[in-house]
Amino acid sequence: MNQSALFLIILLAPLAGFVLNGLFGKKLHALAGWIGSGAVLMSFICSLFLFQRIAADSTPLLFKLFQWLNVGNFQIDLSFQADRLSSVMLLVVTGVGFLIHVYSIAYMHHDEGFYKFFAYLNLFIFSMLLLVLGSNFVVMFFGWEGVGLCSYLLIGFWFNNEAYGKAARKAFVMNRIGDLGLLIGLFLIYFQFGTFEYSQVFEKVETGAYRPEILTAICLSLFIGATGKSAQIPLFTWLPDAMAGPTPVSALIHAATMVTAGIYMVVRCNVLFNYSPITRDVILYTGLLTSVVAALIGLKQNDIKKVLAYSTVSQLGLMFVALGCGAYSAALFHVVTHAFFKALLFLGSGSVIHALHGEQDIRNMGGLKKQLPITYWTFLIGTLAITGFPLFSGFFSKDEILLSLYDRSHWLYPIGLGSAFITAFYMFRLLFVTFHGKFRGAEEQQAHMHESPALMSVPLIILAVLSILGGLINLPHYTGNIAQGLHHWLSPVLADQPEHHHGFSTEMMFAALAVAGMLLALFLTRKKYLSDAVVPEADAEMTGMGKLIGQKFLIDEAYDAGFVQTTEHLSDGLHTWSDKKIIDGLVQQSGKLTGLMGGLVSKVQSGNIEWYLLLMVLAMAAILGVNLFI
Amino acid sequence: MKALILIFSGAIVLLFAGLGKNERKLLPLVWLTLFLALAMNGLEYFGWELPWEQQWSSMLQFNKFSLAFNFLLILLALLGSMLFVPRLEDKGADVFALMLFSLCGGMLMTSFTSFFMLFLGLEIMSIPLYVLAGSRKEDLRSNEAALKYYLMGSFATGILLFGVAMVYGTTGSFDIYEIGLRYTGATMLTGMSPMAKIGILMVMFGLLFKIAAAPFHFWAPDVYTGSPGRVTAFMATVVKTAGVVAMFRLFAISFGIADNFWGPTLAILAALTMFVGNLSALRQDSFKRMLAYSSVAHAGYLLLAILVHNQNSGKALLLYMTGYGLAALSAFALIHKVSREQGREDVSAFDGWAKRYPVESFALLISLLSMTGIPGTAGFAGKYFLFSSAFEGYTWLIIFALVLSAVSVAYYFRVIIAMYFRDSGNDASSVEGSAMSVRLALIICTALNIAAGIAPWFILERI
Repeated sequence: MNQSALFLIILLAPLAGFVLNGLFGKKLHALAGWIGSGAVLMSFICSLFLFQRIAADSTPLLFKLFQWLNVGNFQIDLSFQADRLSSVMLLVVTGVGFLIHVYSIAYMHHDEGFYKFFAYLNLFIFSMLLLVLGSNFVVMFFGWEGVGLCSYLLIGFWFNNEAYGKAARKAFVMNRIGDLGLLIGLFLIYFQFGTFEYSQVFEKVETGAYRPEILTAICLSLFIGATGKSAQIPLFTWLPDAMAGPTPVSALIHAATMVTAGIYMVVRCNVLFNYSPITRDVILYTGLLTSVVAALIGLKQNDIKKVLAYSTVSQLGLMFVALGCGAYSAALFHVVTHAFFKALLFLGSGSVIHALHGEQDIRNMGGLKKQLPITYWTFLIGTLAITGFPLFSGFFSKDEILLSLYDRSHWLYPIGLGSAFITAFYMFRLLFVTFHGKFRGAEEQQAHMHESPALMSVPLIILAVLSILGGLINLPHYTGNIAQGLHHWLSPVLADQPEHHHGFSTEMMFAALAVAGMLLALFLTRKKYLSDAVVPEADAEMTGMGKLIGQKFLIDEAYDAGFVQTTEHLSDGLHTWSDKKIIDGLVQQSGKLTGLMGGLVSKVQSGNIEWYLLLMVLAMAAILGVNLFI
Repeated sequence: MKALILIFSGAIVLLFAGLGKNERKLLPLVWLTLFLALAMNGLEYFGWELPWEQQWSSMLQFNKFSLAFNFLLILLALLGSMLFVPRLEDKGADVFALMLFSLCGGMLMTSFTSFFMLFLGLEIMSIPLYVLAGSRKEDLRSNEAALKYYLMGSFATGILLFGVAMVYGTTGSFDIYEIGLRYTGATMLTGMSPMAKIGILMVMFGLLFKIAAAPFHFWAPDVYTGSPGRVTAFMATVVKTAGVVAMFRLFAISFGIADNFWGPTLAILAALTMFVGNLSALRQDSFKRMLAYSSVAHAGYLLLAILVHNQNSGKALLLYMTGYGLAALSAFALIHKVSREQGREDVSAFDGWAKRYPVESFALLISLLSMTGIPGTAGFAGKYFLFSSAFEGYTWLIIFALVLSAVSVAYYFRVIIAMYFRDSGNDASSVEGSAMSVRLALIICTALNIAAGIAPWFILERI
């Protein structure tokens, strides 16, 4: 198959799925799910072919669909580019996306909006592909906005619930703030470099054709965009609320793919960020702070999906830490492994929620191990992967990040390690409280409890296998010549990469330190939640520091008081003063004037033909007279 | 040329084949004729020529310009014939045959090189229309429309003919290129004689009448409202396109050199047309009448292309007419549907439409957005290129046009609001699905409109 056909199929298959399901979904019934999944599978298969080509030859494959805008010197092409970086993202998006589509067929089975759900999911995949495949900033921006829109639609999917609608709006507004940053970044890029094409921008940066302060402004703006989409401080509060959407959505959009768009963007623009050390510092500290704060909040959450949501924020923070250290391949490595295990954990939680008919509070669970064996074992694997149990995928990717953090600063390393420790703590807490001990819910629920159907469990098993083996793509140095696969794979798109030079024993020591922390957390939680059978307290019963953490450090409240209320007061004032008095007055007057003139003009139209002819003759006479005699 | 002959023969075959038969049965034949013509026109565009075709070269000229516009004309006629399904009691093939004859006239008007052919095309196009306007014999308003159109139309024809005579008197030629050359010489040497001036202005008046530009637009609201739906749609799209293109050809090729003479007059008339069209549309309750006035307003925008009369404005004209034609076709078709269903054509008839007819409402939504000129539709792209081509020479006029486009939002959006944000008193049981061909044509119109809005270059590069 030729290259353009591959590109077209990858992009158009999900779009076709969206159109089919959107237009005829109602009549297709159960078929809608299969069409949606099939479309993504088709993309995935073609992505594999594309991947194979890129593996053979590292020069980026370009595909120009057509010229989109051409005004004077301003040109934008609708063109795409597949290189080492986008091919990895492609496989993750379509591969994990396909598994989640299949899972959703069973999960959303009873939902009224079944077809709409798949239409949105397909549209999401299409937008995400635009985002990762675009060869210039504009196409990326379109994808960026598209995934934001789909995220909004899917968070508010059950829009009859008002709280869900509000959560969707919050996500949308927060993302908009970030997008504004990105947009400013794009304008600055055009202003400085006169083009939006990646290759041309990067080339100009490398030849030094830029002003350093503008480059820093560009990088900072781009990073603000990334904080919105990838839920970093200060724009992270939307992600936990986004859990209002159906669970497969949380898995696909709010864990595995969309939220990593910010990381993809920074890796894509690594050339820019390399020349702006200040921004890299900002990224590093923001990531580190987010990682710790979110992990702390995760400790006290009792909603199974909220724990995972804060964990996602925390893990994304870790990826930004890697970006801040310039370890781009480590960040991307964690994106991939995180996509596997976090999708697994979310789908597992979905399976639990499904079995318990909508119950999400872990205090009402417990002892689910027996009734839901597949869910339990896969969830266990996911937990071990995220906590960094030796030889699981998370172990390798997290160590890689911590190692680069150590290289950057010996003083920051303990903080990163601490974040990993807290992660292990809340994850094992979640595992023990949910699956071990005795069931604490209603009798009725226990009677109806059942393991999920094959359509749900098979994706779980595949993701579990990937969560175990995912580390193979980028093994640490001490494994010899098979090590650092992803790092070498990405080297054509990464400008300059710090190489860490540590001896075997040093690397081992770091790994041992991380594992020790993880095991400590395991024993502490095991004692507390398993041996002593402590049930987490309700929010109302918390005291002291625990209460502050339980209330998420009051960040939502602070935003509300600081921004929302102030804006509302300001807008109230403006409304009564300027809007009503000045603008309304003007609009009404001009509206009246237009209406009056309209009335005059249509009076002429009397329907009388002699009158018309007379007017025409008079007009002709006037025109001729003016032209001939004046 | 081949398409023209095909359509003409198709019309004659229809006349005989359809004696006394129900119109519906003849529809496939009409579609086939137009579809084949479309294909032939396409082939001709890409270079297919028969040896005998050279002979008409002194009267007609089929180049990329005229073939692209002919393609548009045939496409609009085809979609129009799909969008309006005849009623059961409609008998006789004369209506279709007349429409095809009229289309032939329109195609001559895009490709003439001689005043003979211009006049012939104009009349071949107009005379069937006088009959078509009155084709609903039992309807008084239809009769009135026919008579009005005929009386005023013949008046305008007289004016045009008078102008042609004057032009011939000053240049001694009917060939448009020849006239262009003569005018060049004449204006260089002595300035224009009064006779030449009167000739140009009279020709202008005659053509302005055909495209319903102020102050020669008076017939349009009454005739558009009174005529049967498909005839109105045909007049607003095919006839208007042919008229504007003929005017563009003539004023670019023959009178282009004298544009500092007729330019200011035409600019003022364009402004007047936009003003009258948009402001009158504001006051209408009948959606059909509103669209009639909006069609006048669009004629005002189209005159911009003639004012500039260069390569770029010709391209913009093609794009604009594509967008306006597709949008107007579906809008008139849906008015037809609503009036057949509820017996009224006012905006409130569309209350709560979106719930009952999602596909139709979406098509109407896109049409209205396109006519307003909202980005993403062909209407926006057309306005954008048309306005930017004229911006340098006629800045004041473009600003005026932009202000009036903003005014147009007020009346176009009334319909959108009715469809999407109002509840209808009727329950959903009164839904009457559209015929398959109507639905297909609506989807084609909508899809093409959006496609042309997203990738206008595909159309712009055709000339």
